[in-house]
Amino acid sequence: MEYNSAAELVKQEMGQCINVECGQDVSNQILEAIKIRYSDCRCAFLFETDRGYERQTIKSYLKFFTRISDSSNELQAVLNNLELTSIESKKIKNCNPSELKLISFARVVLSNPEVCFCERLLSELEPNAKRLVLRKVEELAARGVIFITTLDPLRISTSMPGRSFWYDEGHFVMADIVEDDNKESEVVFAGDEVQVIKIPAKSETATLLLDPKEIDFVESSNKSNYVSVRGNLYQTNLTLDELEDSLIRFGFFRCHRSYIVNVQKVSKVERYTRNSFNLTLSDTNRSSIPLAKGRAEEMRDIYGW
Amino acid sequence: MEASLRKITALCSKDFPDLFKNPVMFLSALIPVVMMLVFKMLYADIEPLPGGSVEELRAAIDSFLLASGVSVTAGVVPTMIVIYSIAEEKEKHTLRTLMHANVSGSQVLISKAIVSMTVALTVELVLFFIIGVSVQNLPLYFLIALVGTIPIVILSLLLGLWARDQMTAGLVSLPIVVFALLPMMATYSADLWQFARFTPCGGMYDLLEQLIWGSVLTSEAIIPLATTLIWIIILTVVFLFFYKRLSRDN
Repeated sequence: MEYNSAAELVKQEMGQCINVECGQDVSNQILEAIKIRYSDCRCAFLFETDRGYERQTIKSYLKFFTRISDSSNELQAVLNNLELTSIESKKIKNCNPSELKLISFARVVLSNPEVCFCERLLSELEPNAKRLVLRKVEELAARGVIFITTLDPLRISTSMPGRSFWYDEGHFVMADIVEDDNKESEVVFAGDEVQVIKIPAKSETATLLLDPKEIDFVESSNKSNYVSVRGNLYQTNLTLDELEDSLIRFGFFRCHRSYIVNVQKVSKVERYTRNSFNLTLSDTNRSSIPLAKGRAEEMRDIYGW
Repeated sequence: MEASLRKITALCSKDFPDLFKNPVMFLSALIPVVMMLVFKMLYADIEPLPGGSVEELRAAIDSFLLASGVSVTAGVVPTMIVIYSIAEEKEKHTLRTLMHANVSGSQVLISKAIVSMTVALTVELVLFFIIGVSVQNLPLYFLIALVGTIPIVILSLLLGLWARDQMTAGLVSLPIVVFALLPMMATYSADLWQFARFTPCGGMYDLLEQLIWGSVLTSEAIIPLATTLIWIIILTVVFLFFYKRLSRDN
């Protein structure tokens, strides 16, 4: 499923929770679309830049916003829910990024919203804070609150309710996700054993099935293998050899003992020294991938560069 | 209307305690008080010139201190409270959070105006008792100080909207401080006074001097009063003209 603009995405997915992996500009477009589309609803907004009033305490900050929104939500209940009671007297300027995000989330919850737009809701949260936020999100979503999140990478946002999308050159593409009901279960491959068309990669609670053409490169580091998609690394359980076998037919090349690169994404081949080569990709991070000397010759033979 | 009042009350209840936590704002309220205490000490032992009466000297000193004290307060307090706090809200992105929590720009500005007026008037009241003028003058003094501070508050709101961050807030608050102090400096030059009396604080300065000399309820008060009221009208019109444009830019 694909949408061609933020307005279309918000319109077509109206009434549903959605999570979008995108940059700030696109997030702003989604925000504007939400303001128009959900103008009749009680909306609450959590921005990445929210830092609160640094001279206030957590409790006085939240109390202030409770008064602003005149909500019936109990401040103490929300503080308890999000385990903020023990630090309620802490000055906001002394809070760490995870606590700041939790406070902003508490502010959003206190306003008793029907629609919540949240920028990078989960990325900065510590594990326990993330568990608390996800529990609250689940509870609110079950009561019909619509969550629309942006900026979080797919590997994190798949823990949120609703569909996940990623943005690529003007298109919002729905991510293909298999929910992990049983953590031990093997990932189901689409197609037969030989004709692999998707690469399974772990996010926190789900397995993403990545289309080979989305993958920029595969990297092996610290005895784990990671697939790079739009600047984010996703861990995969497949070995580099298995990945090489699967991906070679999609134009991938084993350029180094620890790297497999999507040749279509290579924008520059450089020779640093007599024995060292480098590949620069055209991906989000303009990644640099090493090219082993022996492989460079093989690459030259295959592609004629 | 009820929701609007609730939000303004909530905003004021946030801004008032902040005055005591923010050293810059707290100091800005202390500056006029300390200044008047120093002046009071300096003029304590001054003797009249040969042939001059003690009463006249006393009135001259009181009128200078009273008018200068209120001018300094009007120049420093609203500037610091309004411009700096709006600029800080922008810089720390809390204004954006407020705007997205259904708080309007006008509600934020009204609360800043209320807080700065309250603090300015409180300081001006303290100054009245420090200077030690007859309490009979208090109602009129309070009225003149109130009306005279309004143009500076409006100007501060406008410049607060314009300032992008606390750095630019420092820059834009400078003209206000100069405007406010100009009548005080003009006591040393008759030519400068001819200009200073028509600046936003000039009318108020003149009226406060007349209060001590006893001419405030005569026709002499018409020009300074009119000056102040015209400034209030001009600045309100300018503010309303720029308000929409500046709040959209923000």
